[in-house]
Amino acid sequence: MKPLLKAQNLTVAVRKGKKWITVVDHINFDIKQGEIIGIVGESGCGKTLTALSIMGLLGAHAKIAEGELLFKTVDLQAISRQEKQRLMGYEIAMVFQEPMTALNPLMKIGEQLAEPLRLHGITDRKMIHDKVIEILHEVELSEPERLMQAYPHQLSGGMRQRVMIAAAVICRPKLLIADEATTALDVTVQAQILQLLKKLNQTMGLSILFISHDLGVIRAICDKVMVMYAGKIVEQGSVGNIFYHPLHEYTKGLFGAIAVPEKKGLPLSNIPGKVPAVGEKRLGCPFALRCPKVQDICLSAFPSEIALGENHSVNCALVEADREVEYVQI
Amino acid sequence: MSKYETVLEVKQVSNSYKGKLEKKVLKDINFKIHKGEIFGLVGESGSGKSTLANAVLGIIDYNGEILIGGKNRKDYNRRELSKQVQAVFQDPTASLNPAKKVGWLLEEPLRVHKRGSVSERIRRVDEMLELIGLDTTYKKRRINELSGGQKQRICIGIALMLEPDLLIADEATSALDVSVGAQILNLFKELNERLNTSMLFISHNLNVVYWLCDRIAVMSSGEIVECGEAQNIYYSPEHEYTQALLSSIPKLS
Repeated sequence: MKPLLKAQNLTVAVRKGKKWITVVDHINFDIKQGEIIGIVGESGCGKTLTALSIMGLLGAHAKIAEGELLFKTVDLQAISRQEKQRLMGYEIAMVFQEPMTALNPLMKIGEQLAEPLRLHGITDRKMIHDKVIEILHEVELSEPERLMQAYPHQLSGGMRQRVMIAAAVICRPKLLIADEATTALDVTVQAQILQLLKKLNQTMGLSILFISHDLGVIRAICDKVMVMYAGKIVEQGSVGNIFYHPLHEYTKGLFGAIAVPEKKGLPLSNIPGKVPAVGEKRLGCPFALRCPKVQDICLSAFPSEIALGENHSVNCALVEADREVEYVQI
Repeated sequence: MSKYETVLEVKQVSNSYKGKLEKKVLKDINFKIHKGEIFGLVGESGSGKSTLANAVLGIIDYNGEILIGGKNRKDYNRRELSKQVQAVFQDPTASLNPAKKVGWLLEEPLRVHKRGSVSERIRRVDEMLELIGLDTTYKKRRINELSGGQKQRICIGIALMLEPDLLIADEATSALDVSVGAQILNLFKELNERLNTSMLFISHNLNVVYWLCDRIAVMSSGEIVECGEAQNIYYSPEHEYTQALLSSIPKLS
C-alpha cells in the first residue's frame, strides 16, 4: 500500500544568529492510511519540529533544509500558499497540547467549529449547523445545541480538548497530528481522549501521528513507534517489538526510568547527562556520551539503519556488532 | 526519639474560596505524617492537593488545626515555620533567582537565619552540593547554565539547608523528562534514607507516588477518599475513585 505521508531525509534547521543549525537530522518514515504512529523522546529531541514541518508551520526562524515530504503524491514543499491553505485543516489537521490557548476565547464553540468548514468552501448555514452537531456527537460531547452557544472558558479541560479534536476532524482529514494532545490532561480524562482518538481512527480510517514523551500513552494508542533522540530516529518498529525487545540503549534507558510498581524499593535506573544542546557539534552516535555501553566505533560515525525483520529497525553500532557475532556462531 | 513521632498532624482542616458561590476546596482533611516517613498525596487537578500544601506552608488561611512538631501552625511566625517546613515546587526555573550564582542561593537560608560564620556557611554549601549530587564547581554557575534536573536539585538543596523536619514536594518531578525525573526521585529516596527527613510528596502520577511513598492519601474534590499503606492503596484499592484512577493509567506491559 502506498504511504499517505512519506518523509525522506527530512532535515529541519533553526536559525541561530546568522547560522542555520540542524535540529531534525535526515529522518525517514512512512505513515500509511489508518495507521497510528507515535514519536517518543525527551524534550528537545525534535519531535514537535517534525510535526510542524509537515504542517508547514515552521515560521521564519526554522526551515526544511533538506529532504522530501510527500503527502499522497503532493510535494508539501513545492505547493503554493493557496494549495497549502486548501490542504491544511482539510486533509491534514493538528491538535496541540494546551486546548485553552488554541481556542479563541471570544468565539462561541459553534462558530469555532464552523470556521474550518467555511474556510474550505461550505457556505450553506443549515449544512454547517448539521455538520457541527454531528461532529459534537462524534466526539461524545453531550447537549451539542447548548454547547455551541458556550465559550471556551465555560468548559473543562477535557471538554476543550474534545472541541479541539472536533475542530480538527470536522473536515474529515486523512491525517491528524496530535502533539502531546493528552499531556495537560488528568489521567482519567486522558484515558477518555485516547479512546476517542482510537475510535476516530477506526470509524474514519484516520491516520494519526501521535507525539508524546509518555511511553505508556504511546503503548495505549499506537501501532508503530519512532524513538527520537537529538534530531535522529534511533529506533523504530511496531509497538510490540519496541516495548518487548527494545534494542537501542536510549530506548532501554527510557523504559528503565519509569517508576513502575514492580520497581518499588529499588532505585530507578536513569540516563546520565542530558540531551545535547542545539547545535552542539558531534560525530558519530548522538547518544554515545550518555550510553552505558559506548565503544570507540560509536564516536566515529552515525550508525546506519539495521533492519531486523519487517517491523523493527535500529541505528546502533553495537547491535550490528552483536549480529555479526551471532552470524559467525551460526 | 520514638519511631512514631508525629511531624505533621492535619486535623479537620477545611477551606473554601470566596466568590459569588462559596466553593469548598478542602473538606475536613485528617492525616498524620510520622518522622522519617514519605507520605504521598495523589489526585487530579482541582482536587485540593496544592491548597492543602499551601495551608501547611502558611501561604493561605484555613479552618481546623494543623500541628507541626506538636505546635499549632498559627502559633509559628514565618521565620520559625521556615525552619520546620520547606517546599519544592514544579517549576525550578521560576523558583530560583536568575541573577544570583548557585553558591549564593544555597547560602541564602543560612544568611537569613544568621547561622554560622562565613567559613562555616561555605562549608555547609559544599556539603549540600555533594548531598544533592553536584560538585563544588557548581557554586560559581548561574541558573541559566543549568539543566532542568540540575535546577531542581538546587531547589531541593536550598529547601534542606535549614534541616527542616518536613519537606513538601508539590509536583516536583512533573515538569521534568522521565530520565531526569527518575534521578530526582532517586535523590528524594536517598535523602530520606540519609537524613530521615519526612516528606509530603504531592503528585498526580499514582505510579510515581507508589514507587516513592510509604503511605498514600487519595484526594478527590477536596476530600481524602482513601488513605493507607502504599501497598494496599495500589493493589487493593477500596474506593471507586482510586480504582478509576488506577485503571486510567496507561500500562507499559
